[in-house]
Amino acid sequence: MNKNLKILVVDDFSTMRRIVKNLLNELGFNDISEADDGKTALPMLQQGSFEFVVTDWNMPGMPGIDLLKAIRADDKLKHLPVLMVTAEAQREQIIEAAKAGVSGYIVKPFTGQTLKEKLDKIFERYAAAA
Amino acid sequence: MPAVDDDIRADFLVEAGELLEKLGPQLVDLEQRPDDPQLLNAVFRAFHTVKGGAGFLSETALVEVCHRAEEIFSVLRSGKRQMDAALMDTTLAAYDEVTRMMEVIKSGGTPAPAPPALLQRLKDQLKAPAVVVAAPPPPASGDTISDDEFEALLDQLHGKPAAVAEPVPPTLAPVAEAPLPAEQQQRRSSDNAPETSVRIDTQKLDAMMNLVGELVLVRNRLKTLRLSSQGASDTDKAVSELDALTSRLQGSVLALRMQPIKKVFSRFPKLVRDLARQLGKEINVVMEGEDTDLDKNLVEALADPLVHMVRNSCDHGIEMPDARAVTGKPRAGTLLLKAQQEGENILIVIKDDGAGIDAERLRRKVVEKGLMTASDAGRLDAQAALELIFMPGFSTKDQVSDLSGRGVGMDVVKSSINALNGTVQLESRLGQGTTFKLRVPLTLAILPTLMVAVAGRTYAIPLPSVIEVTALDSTAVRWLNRKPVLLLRDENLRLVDLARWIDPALPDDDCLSGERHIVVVRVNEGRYGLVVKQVKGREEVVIKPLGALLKGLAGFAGATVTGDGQVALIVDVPSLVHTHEREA
Repeated sequence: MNKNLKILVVDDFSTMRRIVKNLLNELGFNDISEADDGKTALPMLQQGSFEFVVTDWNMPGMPGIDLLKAIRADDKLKHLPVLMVTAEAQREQIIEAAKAGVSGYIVKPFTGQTLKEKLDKIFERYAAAA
Repeated sequence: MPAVDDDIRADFLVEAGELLEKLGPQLVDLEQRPDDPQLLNAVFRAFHTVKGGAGFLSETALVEVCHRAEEIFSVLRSGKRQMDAALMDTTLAAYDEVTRMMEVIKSGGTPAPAPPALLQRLKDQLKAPAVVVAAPPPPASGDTISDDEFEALLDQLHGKPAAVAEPVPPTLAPVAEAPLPAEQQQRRSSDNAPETSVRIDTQKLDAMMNLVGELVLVRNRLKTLRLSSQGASDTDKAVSELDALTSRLQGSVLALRMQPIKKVFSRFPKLVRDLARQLGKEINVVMEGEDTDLDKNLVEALADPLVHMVRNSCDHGIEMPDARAVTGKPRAGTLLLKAQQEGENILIVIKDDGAGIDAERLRRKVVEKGLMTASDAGRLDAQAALELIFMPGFSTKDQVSDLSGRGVGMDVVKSSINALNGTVQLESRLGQGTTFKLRVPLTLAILPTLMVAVAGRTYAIPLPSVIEVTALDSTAVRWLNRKPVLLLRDENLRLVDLARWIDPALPDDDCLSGERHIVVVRVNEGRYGLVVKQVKGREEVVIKPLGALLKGLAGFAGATVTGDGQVALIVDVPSLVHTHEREA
């Protein structure tokens, strides 16, 4: 896995951003930026040459699902892998996210190991598509 | 479960604590605006977010109660169910439980699971959608999806991985391993972070404040040196600049420690609501000036006294709705909490439109309690009679109510405010209500003092307690019970000779042996005259704690360094007088 991957972590709760960031650090990723909402994340993505997005679902200004839709609707960003963090693996919710083009989902709380498996799966899919 | 380090735990406590602090008032607002979608959303998200964080900390008890509350708000915000009184009570009980658990976590423990009765109530509330036609089951209990199903779904949506037609994002291809252009590299770390504020450990702030304090003292010394040496004008200019800069630096470091009084005020709507329900009263809370800033330590120190006063106003001040209606008042009482800056002080007003305090009743009570003779009580003027409530051991309720009567009286409130160099003022009109006015300094880090000399040493007397300074007329000194008293403007002023306080070997009447000055100070309701040799003038000092050997020494609050480089002890006036009275 490319450890230089440039990752954006989006969550309105800074403790959660820190938790996700620490887990990513443990997996060897070090180029991690943070955004506190979909609204702040989008302009960062548009300018920032990010290669991966981990976003929370539930955020006040622009929820994760809307951020995902905005990413898929943007010509420059539409291929960006997006991992969605949710509280429960609600069937309806996950189907909605899948239809909107989510690359994977992960249920809180999770371990570094689970996160790694999720990332591997996403990269597998992208690699297979290459 | 993932192991999470203590830093994250500490972060969680602060951040989730802030969410909960806001949640209390939001829940109370919800009672007024039960359909406000934004409010419902905010409450939902607060429980949701705390739950998410608690999950990573393996705090399962907290996760469970947050989850139950979140489920309820998930249904509420979907419009499938309306808020009602019973649901509100259940929600508030859940909120209280969450707050309790946070306290346990904060003190290093692991909270026990929520009472099963509460969890059951939360579940029942979810099951019983009142007045709703054919409510579908709440989404939270709907079925979940497995990883395999999800993969299959992706295959179905985008085709099997091998068949994905989309070009691969170039950055994910091995090419991306190549170093990025320098320009891009640079941008990486400096990407516009959205946060404009930084959390700082208060210990670091205190250390910084301490250093600035030292700087202020050196500045003071330089200023003194400049005066004595009449040095070159260049030095003069440099010292003036240092003077101005130091003051500004001191100001901005102090500003870092400032927090809005909102931190304390925000708990009151919920507190008052709970009290009102318990007492069967109707009380509205009005808050003004919640954004007024004051020193963090003071915000914390004011919390308990304010809670006590608010409880008092709800319990003793505001009448029952029927009693209010009889006197032509609105059934609901109003409690005003107001904060505003007044120069170097902050003024906090707690005002109710209740029954007011009956001075006659207080007079009778103080006699019944044997705290005062009938004739003494009769001589008190109206204001002095009101202030009996601040007297130790005085409580006007025959039955100690479980609200205000928690073993803490108004005397404790008053002494804790005094300990902050603050004052409490009381106004009350029978039938119209009672107003408490608290004045405390904006910060405790810098203290205006009066510098005095006693037996060749310099002492600093905190200026807030000083009323006046006068020369001692030794012919006006009388002895009462072998204690010196000065007749000053027809009032007997008890004298405390600082020289004898420091050196008890001196004779009783040492203070009459030469030229002396009197610093008149106020301690609670009493006035005392501190006898000093010389009054040097006013100086703003930075308080330094006493070393371990001298810690706890009665009568001294700390030490400071004066402009001429000497160490001066800071007199703790209440403790000095208190100890003096006891010993004499």
